[in-house]
Amino acid sequence: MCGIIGVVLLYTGLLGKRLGTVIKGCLKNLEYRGYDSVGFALLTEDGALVLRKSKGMLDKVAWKLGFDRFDGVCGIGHTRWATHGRPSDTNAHPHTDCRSEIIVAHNGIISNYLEIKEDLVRKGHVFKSETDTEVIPHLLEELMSKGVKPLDALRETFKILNGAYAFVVILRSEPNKIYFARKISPLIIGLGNGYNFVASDIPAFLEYTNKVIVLRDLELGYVTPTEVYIEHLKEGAVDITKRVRVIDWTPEMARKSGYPHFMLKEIHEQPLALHSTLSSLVSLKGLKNVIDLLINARRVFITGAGTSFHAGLVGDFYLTKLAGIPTYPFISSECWKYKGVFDEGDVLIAISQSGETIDTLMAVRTAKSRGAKILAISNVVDSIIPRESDLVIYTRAGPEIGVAATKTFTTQVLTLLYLSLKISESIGRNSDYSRRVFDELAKVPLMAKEVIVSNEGRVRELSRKLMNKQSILCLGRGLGVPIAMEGALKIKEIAYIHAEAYPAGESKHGPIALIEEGFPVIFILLNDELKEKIMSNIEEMRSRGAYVITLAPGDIELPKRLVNYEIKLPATTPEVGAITYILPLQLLAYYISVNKGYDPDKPRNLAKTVTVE
Amino acid sequence: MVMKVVILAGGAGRRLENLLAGRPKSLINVLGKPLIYYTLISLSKLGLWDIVLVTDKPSYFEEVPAGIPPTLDVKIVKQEKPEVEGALLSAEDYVKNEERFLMLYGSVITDYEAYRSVIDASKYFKFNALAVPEADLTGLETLEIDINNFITKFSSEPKGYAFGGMAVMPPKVMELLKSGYSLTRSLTEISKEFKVRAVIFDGWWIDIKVPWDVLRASYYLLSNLTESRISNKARISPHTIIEGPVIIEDGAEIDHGVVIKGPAYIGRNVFVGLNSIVRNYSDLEKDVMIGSLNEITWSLIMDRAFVSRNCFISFSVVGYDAVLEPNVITLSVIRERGKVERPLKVSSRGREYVKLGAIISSKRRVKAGTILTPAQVI
Repeated sequence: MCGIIGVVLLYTGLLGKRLGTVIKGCLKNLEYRGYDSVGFALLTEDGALVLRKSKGMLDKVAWKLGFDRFDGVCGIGHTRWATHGRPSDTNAHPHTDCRSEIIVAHNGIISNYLEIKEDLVRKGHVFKSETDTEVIPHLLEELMSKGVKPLDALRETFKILNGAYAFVVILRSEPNKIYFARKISPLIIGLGNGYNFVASDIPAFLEYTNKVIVLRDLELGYVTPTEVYIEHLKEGAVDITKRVRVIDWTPEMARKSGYPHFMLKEIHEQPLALHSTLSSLVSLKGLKNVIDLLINARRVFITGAGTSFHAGLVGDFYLTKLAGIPTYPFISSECWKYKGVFDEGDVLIAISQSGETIDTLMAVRTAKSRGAKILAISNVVDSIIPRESDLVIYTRAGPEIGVAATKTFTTQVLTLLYLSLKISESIGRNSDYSRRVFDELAKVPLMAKEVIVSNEGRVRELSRKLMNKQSILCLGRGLGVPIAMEGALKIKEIAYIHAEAYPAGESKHGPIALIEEGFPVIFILLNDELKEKIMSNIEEMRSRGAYVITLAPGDIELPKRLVNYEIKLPATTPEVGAITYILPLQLLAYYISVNKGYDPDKPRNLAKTVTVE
Repeated sequence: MVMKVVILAGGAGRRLENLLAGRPKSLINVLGKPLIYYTLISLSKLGLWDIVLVTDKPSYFEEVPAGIPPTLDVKIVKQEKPEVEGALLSAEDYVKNEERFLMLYGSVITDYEAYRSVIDASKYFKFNALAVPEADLTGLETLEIDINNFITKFSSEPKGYAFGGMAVMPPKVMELLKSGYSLTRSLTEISKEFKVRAVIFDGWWIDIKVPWDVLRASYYLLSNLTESRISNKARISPHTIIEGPVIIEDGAEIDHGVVIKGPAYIGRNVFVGLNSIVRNYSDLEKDVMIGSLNEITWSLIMDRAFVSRNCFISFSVVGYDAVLEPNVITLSVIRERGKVERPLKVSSRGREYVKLGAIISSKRRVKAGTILTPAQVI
């Protein structure tokens, strides 16, 4: 997982600032893809090369690298998340061939690089780093030294390299061209007037253009300031005119617009994201097909990773309870269990924010190869998983840049709830209750706003009480369990506090042994038939000295002696509650992280989209 | 970004009256600098150099606090009419031809990041205001927001976010004020007519309304100390114990056996006598005299105050020139909740306490052996 950017200009200074500064800005917007090292390479009009790279976060090393001091007509930049070779100055991208004629930045993994490297070393090539990337320039050099033209050499290299990757190449002999290739890992072209971009994601260049071409698997080609050439490895040249899309996000949307962190911005964007998703679902044309697919399915599986899996667990509850369709939720990396079980007539619901999560993609491919149909739920239009699926529903959360998923979770849950209600409506099951939930669902964006506005201050106060704790236990029953799991995940990943979720009924079978004076326990109390039971769980915990925090509907009065800190939420059905209850937990994780002095947008050891198994 | 700034540094500071002895609230010294200094420094970092400071007591502001960059152009304007509305109106001439201006409460002290967020946001949203998530909103101005984070209402009801006392506004707000509307009402009207974005801020922020808010300010400023700075012109006994970050200024004198547990601030020419204990978050301003065997914890001792001997001062503010005779004790644990608005909350060894000591007026002499109860104003 890394971010790459390439930009090529008709003449020096076309964008009104130095090319180094342009690349720095682009890399800043790609930082969510990795941030352990950065580097860039620039070519001037006569082919002079500047190559600078370093370990460390962009902001910290920008001055050292001196982005702002260099100008040119063509440049590439890279922000790295180490996979092969530890983060270091030499392992940072871009990498070059033996003579520094060919310069490459790469994202993803080349699985057969060791054998290629051995072969090249035998032929006399000198490798400087421990990365898999470095085989690309040397391989190109090897081919080009035999007189092969650059594009043909690129095609040959592309055939030789296995794995999931995307890369960009510049040549000192052709300072107005950037070559690129994509296999599985994303790569996007941005079209400008007298300049073109190639990048791992759209926000990188959104400041300069909103016209893009999303490259597909096995495509390669080059961009010059005025020309774009794309070919498919097997199918030949591509007609690009049909592929140009205009992005309606403004660059401002992809930035923080005054928020201290992307995560807080994205938490606050949830009411709007819910609203957009709900409106797009209401007008969704293919919904009938989706409903038919699920009603007629022999069995329904749900898969996802991390937060998407938690959304899947909530979806499992909805489909089972509201629509009467029992489902099998599983974590996508654990797919092997069902490998021989998927069959024709089965449906797999694959949930992935990015549409690129490798484990989920593998699960999709496994199920598909056995004849199962795939329904994808994703936030990124035209990404791999949606493209490989039979049917797709897109959440309309907008770009999510914070590594911890927030608005994509709530919009995924909303989508699954809407779907389940539509199914129950079309089969005439639980119709009275479903209609009530439906009415509540329409209010969910406003309810979400209300929850955030009326609780942010209190949650911030609570975060100060919890910031020095070693552990937090999150308990719930029924729908409260996946919410507790998602809340615990948020606390773990950005606040670095060990947090564990458990069904409250199970707490007697183990976790209660942990409880001592002041041990924080968060209870998720939904307005359902399980609330009496959960009250006795609270009693158990409080009597052992736990610091009890409750998330409960405002109309339920909890005895003061039982609760140390109460967060009140709007009274609603438990199904809709699954969307609103996660908001205070997201805020809690955020504020604990900020109070402890961490950067919630960049949790250590994590990347936004996991594209390696 | 070129934007004019109006700082409202008037205001009677009613609840701080007995501490202030006629001086303006924004000139209370914390860590050796007046509160207004911290605002001005943040503005100068952002390149906001064109500043109008409205005050009812202009004479106090004539002397520019040391350390303010000379590039700042601060115009002092005398407040003509009472209240915050009158203060803002006094600056009308300076901003009426502008498209927008930054309005600041002089009583607010906050992190540089808050100013930066507002200025950053103003690049995308023409008008905006700072919103701070606070659990206890009593006595604060508040704002509410809609689904797109635009402000719907400013008020004094304890609902939504605290208004951060920082807003980018059109000069039209002046017209509304002239028609007799209150400031919150005018701001509400502006947000109905234009889109005013809420800028949510996650760091520390204090609007000095009650005397103990000053203790909160010194707490945050001291918490941000990352290193000690001890003047070579201070005289420190070799038998002093200093732990954690401290600032000790020129001319300070620390006698034998004193224990200073940082973070703490010891101002210019302060004297700390034999065997006294100065504990964390203590702020002793210039020319303060602390006799022997005193214990001071999380308190602000304002300029020239005198603490004689064997006193215990905790979570308290001692005013300018106040005198504490021997054996004065301040009690500070508040047992009944809700008795005092926004008291200080501390946790010690895993337990939580609500605390507030005494507020001792300027020039006050406290008789020997007095025991002051929590939150007592004397």
